[in-house]
Formats: sequence, structure tokens, C-alpha cells
Amino acid sequence: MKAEAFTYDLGTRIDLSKLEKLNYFRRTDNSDALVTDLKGLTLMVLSNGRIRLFEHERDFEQIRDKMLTASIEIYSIIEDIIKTLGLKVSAKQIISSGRREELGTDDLALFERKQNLSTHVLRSLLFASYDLAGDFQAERISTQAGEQIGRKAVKIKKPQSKEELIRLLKKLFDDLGLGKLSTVEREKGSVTLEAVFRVDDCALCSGVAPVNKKLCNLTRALLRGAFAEFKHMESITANETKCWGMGDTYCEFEVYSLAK
Amino acid sequence: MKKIPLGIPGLDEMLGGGVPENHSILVCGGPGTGKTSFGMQYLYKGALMGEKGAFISLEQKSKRIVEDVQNAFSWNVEEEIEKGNLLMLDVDRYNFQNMIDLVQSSVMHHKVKRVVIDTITMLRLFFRDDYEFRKGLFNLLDFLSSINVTTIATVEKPYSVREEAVFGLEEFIADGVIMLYNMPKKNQRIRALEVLKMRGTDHSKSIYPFQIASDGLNVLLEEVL
Repeated sequence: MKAEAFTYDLGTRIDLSKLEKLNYFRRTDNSDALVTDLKGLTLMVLSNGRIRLFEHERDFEQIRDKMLTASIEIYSIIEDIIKTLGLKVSAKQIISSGRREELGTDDLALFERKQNLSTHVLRSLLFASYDLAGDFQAERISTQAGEQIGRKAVKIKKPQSKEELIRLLKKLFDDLGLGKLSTVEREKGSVTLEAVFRVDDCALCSGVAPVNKKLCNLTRALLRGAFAEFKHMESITANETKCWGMGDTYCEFEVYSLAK
Repeated sequence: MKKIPLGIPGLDEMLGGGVPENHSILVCGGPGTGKTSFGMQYLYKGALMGEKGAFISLEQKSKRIVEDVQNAFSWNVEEEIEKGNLLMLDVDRYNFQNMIDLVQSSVMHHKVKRVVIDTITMLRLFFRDDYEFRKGLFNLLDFLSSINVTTIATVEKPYSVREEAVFGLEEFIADGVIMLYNMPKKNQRIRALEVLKMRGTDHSKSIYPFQIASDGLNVLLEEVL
């Protein structure tokens, strides 16, 4: 699996709140990152000191030309960051640290927040399955696991209403350490839209560099399985619409029921 | 090699008892040749034999298919659906992942052994180009075999007679291909079928007429075209 981003390293953890005075940055909700848009690219500054350049749904080859066009702006932003934080490095040194971001089964410390053992194990399994079994099979394995978890939770707890189901899912996510699950209200929903969920601090993908893949098949299938079991119908679909793996900073899932 | 009877009289004899287990078989034909009925008969007869099935509908609403089949044939499809022996599933047609989720859930959770996908032609809409389609189709058929289901997938073809048959990449990937025709004879049309390909087993190479009656499809082996 390869990350499709170009990353610089300040070499130290940083306090993002000090950079908020640079008015071209905006804080993303519930994430330890600041972002700015740069001639079609997204420049993200992480609290672990990494500065990541990427474009949503584009691979590295496709963003390289834009990086050349934006090189002066990139240099200028890095200079601003160094000056604001009082770091004892030069922009030239940081630029020379730049590399194409590679992910592997041993590369879990992309986002150095409190990661417990189970998150490390979960991500190791996830990336190992992609590396060894290929994208299709890896997705199927995660889906099977997620579906079983979702169905079992509903079978055991037997929620009596959709509201109760949603409360059950929120607790399940907390108990399992999968992330913070919340619901999203949509102004214009469709009659078949059952729910829209947002996950912050996702155990599967939070902090992962963009890999042009939606990574959270386990979560997606968990939601699908839970609704399928709750409604006693199979024609339920769950789609992941946002994921760190695609360059977003949280996960989002839409659950639909189709005709019975 | 274990064989799975299709439940279509005459055709099972042409195949020496049925199709090899866990194979993916394409049923190809033009409009009105009986592809959907073929798939439903495969599942219905399988349910009567104790093998659960799932019908994945990418084109028509599954509710409509059940109504049509109940009206056309003397089968009690609704009873098998009520018992949970037959799952009728609609798919969000532009999402390949959702379709695979449905199949996987049917098999792993409901212990389905027979799957019909109607129609694989619609799958092409899920992909940007032929390369991605071929990869997706290969992954799908390989996956189905790996989870121990025997699959019938229908394929829409623009022709109704043998002489106009053109083969797409699906026919090369699948384990078996059964062609359905609606051939003109004098002032009417005759339905006919042939087994073009079936890996792992010998099969009849002749074209036979078949009829669609109240009990379903029936191949007339006493006539050869």
C-alpha cells in the first residue's frame, strides 16, 4: 500500500494552536491538524510535526506538477511555520526532508496520538491483509468481520427502535475503541436514507496519509450488519463517503435501505 | 467432481447431471429468451432440494420478478421466500461494493449455496473502462467460487439466433456458458439452447429446443435442431 502524499518533517511535535494566528490555516473539527488550500493541493500540518501535501483522489504522479507550480508558496508557508514556532531549523532543511509517503505493515506511527496496543494490532492486521491478500480480498475480510460484529450486537441487545439502535452503536464504538460515533443531520435526505454517521478518531484510519482508498470496510460493514439485523432485511447498503485514506479528516458513512 | 443439478429437465441430462459445484455459469441470450426464468428456476428447484439461494437483481425490482414468476408458473416462490430459502435482493445499481456485500452476507450469514446475478451486463456500469470491468468481474467470480457457491449470471446479448452470436470478455472468464436463442422458423419463433462451454465436465454439443410452460423451462431432448 502506498500513501499518495508528499510529506515534510519538522522533526519535533508542535503546538498547533500557535499556528492558528497564521490566518490562512483553518482547524479541522475534532482532529489534530491544520489545513490550507494551495493551488488545488491540500497542505496539512499535524501535531506530530509532519507537513503533508496531497490532493483528494489523486495519486502522487498527478500532484507532482502542482507541487512544482506551488513550490514558492510551499517554501513561504514553511518559513512562516518555523518563524512562528521559533524552531531552530531552516526552511531549506525542511524542504530537503521531503519524501513521498510510504505506508507498510510496520509503519503505524503516522499519527502520534495515544495509540493503544489494540489499535496497533488492528491496523497491522488491516495493512497486512492489503499487502498479502490484495485489495479485493482484504476488503472482503474486513467486511465479514464488521458484519458479524454489527449483527451480533443487535442480536444480543435487541434494540426496539432506531433511536435505541443508534445509542447501541455509539456505545459499541466507545466500548470497542473504534472511534467517536455521531449522527449527521441531512437537510435533504432521501426516503431510503436510514442514517448518516460520522466517526472521529477512527481506530482504523485516523491520521493515515492519503492512500486513495477508503479503509474502513469493517466499520462500514458493522453499520450495514447492524441495520440489516435490526430491520430483518438484506437490501441495506452502507457507503463510506469520507475517510482519512481519501484525504479527509474524519470518516462518514451513509446507510440506505432499498426496496424490500 | 460433485455436480449441482440446475433443476431444468433435459438440461441436467445434457450436462451429465448438472454443473460442477462452485462454478460460475453464464446464461446468455437476447431479449425474451428466458434468462430470468432460467435463474429463478435454478433457485426455486434448489430451494425445494434444501439448498438456499439468493437472487441479486440489478435491473428489475425483485418484487416485480416474484410477481411475474408467480403469475407465469405453478411454483410457490413466495412460500420459499417466507421460509427463508430464497432471498430476493435489490442492488444499488452503480455500486459494485454494495453488490458484493449483499452476496457475501447472503452466503456467510444465511448459508446460501446458489446465487443468481441478473444481469451481469449491468455490472459494466459500475466500472470506468473494460480493464476495470474485467478485473472486477474476475474478482467477483473468483470470490464466489472461493465461498462455495454455484453461480448463474445472466448476460444480455443483442442477438437471438446462433449465427449472430458475438462473445464478450465475460464468456472467456466464466467456467461455463449456456446460450439461449429465439430462432425464427417459418412464421414463428422457437426457443433453443446449447451448452457452449463447461469446464470440468463433458457435455452435449447439440442445440435443443426448449419450452417455457407452467412448470418452468423444459428442454426437449427428443428433438435436435
